[in-house]
Amino acid sequence: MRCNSFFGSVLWLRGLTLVGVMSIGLITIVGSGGGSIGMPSDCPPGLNCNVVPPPAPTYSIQPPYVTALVGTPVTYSAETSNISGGLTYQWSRSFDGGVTYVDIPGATGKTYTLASVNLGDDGAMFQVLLRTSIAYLRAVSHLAVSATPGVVYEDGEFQAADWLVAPFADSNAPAPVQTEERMATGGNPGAYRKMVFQLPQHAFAGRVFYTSLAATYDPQTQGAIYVIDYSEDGISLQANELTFTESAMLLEQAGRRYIANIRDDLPYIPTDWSAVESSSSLRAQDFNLIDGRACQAGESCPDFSALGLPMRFGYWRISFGVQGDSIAHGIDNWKVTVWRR
Amino acid sequence: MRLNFLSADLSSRLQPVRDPDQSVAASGATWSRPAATAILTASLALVFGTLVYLSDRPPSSAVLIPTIAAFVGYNVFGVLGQWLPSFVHPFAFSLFTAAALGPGAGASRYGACAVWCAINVGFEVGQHAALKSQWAEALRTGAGDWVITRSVLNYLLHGTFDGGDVFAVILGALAAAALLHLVNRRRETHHALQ
Repeated sequence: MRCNSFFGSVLWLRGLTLVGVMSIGLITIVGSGGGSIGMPSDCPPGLNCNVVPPPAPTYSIQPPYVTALVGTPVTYSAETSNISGGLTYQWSRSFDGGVTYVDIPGATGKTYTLASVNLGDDGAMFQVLLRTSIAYLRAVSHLAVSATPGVVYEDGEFQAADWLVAPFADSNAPAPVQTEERMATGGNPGAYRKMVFQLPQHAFAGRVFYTSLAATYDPQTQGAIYVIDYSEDGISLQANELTFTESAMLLEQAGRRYIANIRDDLPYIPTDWSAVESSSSLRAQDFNLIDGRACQAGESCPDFSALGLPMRFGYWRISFGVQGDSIAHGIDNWKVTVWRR
Repeated sequence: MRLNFLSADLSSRLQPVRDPDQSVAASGATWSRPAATAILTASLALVFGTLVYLSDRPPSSAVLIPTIAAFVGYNVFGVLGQWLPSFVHPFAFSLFTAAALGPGAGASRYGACAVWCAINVGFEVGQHAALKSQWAEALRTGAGDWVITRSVLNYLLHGTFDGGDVFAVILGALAAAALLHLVNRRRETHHALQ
C-alpha cells in the first residue's frame, strides 16, 4: 500500500510538472512578443505594466544604405540617443563585404565624409565603433556607387488619373472596401492622398496596391537596374493602437507584384507625418513576390537585367484592425530613383 | 556526490527506487541523472535566451522580461541574437518536458521534442502575413475576448514571421533530441556494464 501511495504521488507530481512545463512554455512563447515591437495593450494579470522603463540607448549610422553618383560626396553620421557619458568614435571600412574592417586613420569624429566617391567605393561597407564608459557599440552602413544619374519618379500631388488602384484579395483574406481622395492641404506640405480601408467581414487586414501610371521603366531600352532608392511620407489618421497600417514600395513586372519588405520589418505609420519608408540601394533580392504566378527555376523575380520586361512602381498598404473598421491613412512625397551602373 | 548518497540512502528505504543512477529531489519525486542533466542544460539555455532579450532586443519587446538598463544595447550575441531565442525555446522546453516525463518515458521523450517543435513552428507560421488575420479571426471567434486571447492576438498580429526562426526552432528540437539520446544512451550503457 505504501508503494502504491508512493507511486501515486510520484505520478501526480509528474503530471503536475508536465502541465506546469507546458503552460510556462506556451506563456513564454506568447510573452516573447514574436519579434515584434512589443505588446501594446492588455497587460497580463499579475504584471505591473505601468512601469515606464528608462529610455533605451539607440545608435545607428545615417544613412544605413546610400546610393551615390560618381564624384559626389557622401557623409555618414553616427546617431545616438539616451547614451550618457562620453563617447568616442572610430570609423572603419570593409573591403570584403563586412568580414573584416580596417580603421580609417584620423576618422574619429561623429561624422565621416567621403569627399568624392568613385566606382572603387561601390559595395564598400563602413562601420563606426562607439566607445562609451560601459560598452562598445557598432553600426554599419552600405555604399552603392553609380556612374549614371538616377531616373527619378516622384509624386506629391496624387491626381487620381495618375494612379491605378487594385484592392488585393486572396484565399486568406477578402479585399477591403477602399476609397481614395486627394486632399489639397494637410500634406507634408500641401496636397496629399488620403486612403480609407474598410475591413470586410472575416478579415483582420486589408491590402491595396497603388501603381503610378507615370512611373514606367523598361530595362531593355533604359538599361539594367543596379539598385533602387525608395521613400515616402506617411500618416496614420487613426488614434487606435489596435488599428495600424504598414507601407512598402510596390514593383510590378510581367504580371507579378512585388513589395520591398525583405530587408526590414515594415514600419508602422505614425499619427503624424514622417518618412515612414526610406530604403536605399534596394536590389532585386530585396523584393518579395506577393501576387502573380510563382517564380520558375532560372527566372529572375524581379528581373533587373537588361533583358527584363518593363516595370511599374507604386506603393502597397496593409491595414490591420477588427472587421468592419474603417482605417484612414495618408501618403505624400512618394519617390522612386532607379540607378544603373 | 551528495545526491548519489541521498539516492542510495532513500532507495534502500523505498523499494520502488531501484535505479542506482537516480537522484532525489526535495519534493520526494525521483529524478534520474539524465533528467538532472536535461534540466540543468535547459536552464542554462534559457539564461542565454533571456540574455538576448536583455541585451540585444529593444526594451519591452518581451512583456515577461523586464528592462534592465545596464544590459540594453550591448548586442552580446550579434547576428545570432536574431534566432537564438527561437532555438532556445524548443530546446529547453523539450528537455524540461522529457525530464518531467521521467526515466521510463522511452521514445516519448522524443515526442516531447516533436511537440515543442510543432508548437513553436505553429506560432511562428501564425505570424505570417498571409495567415495572421485568419488565425486571429479564428481565435477571436473560437475563444472569445479574453486577456489570453488578446495576448495571443497581439502576438499574431504584431509579431514578425521569419523563416530563419522556423529553421532555428527545428534545429533546437533536434538538438534537444540528440542530447536526450546521448545522455540516455550513456545511462543505458552504464546499466549494461553493471
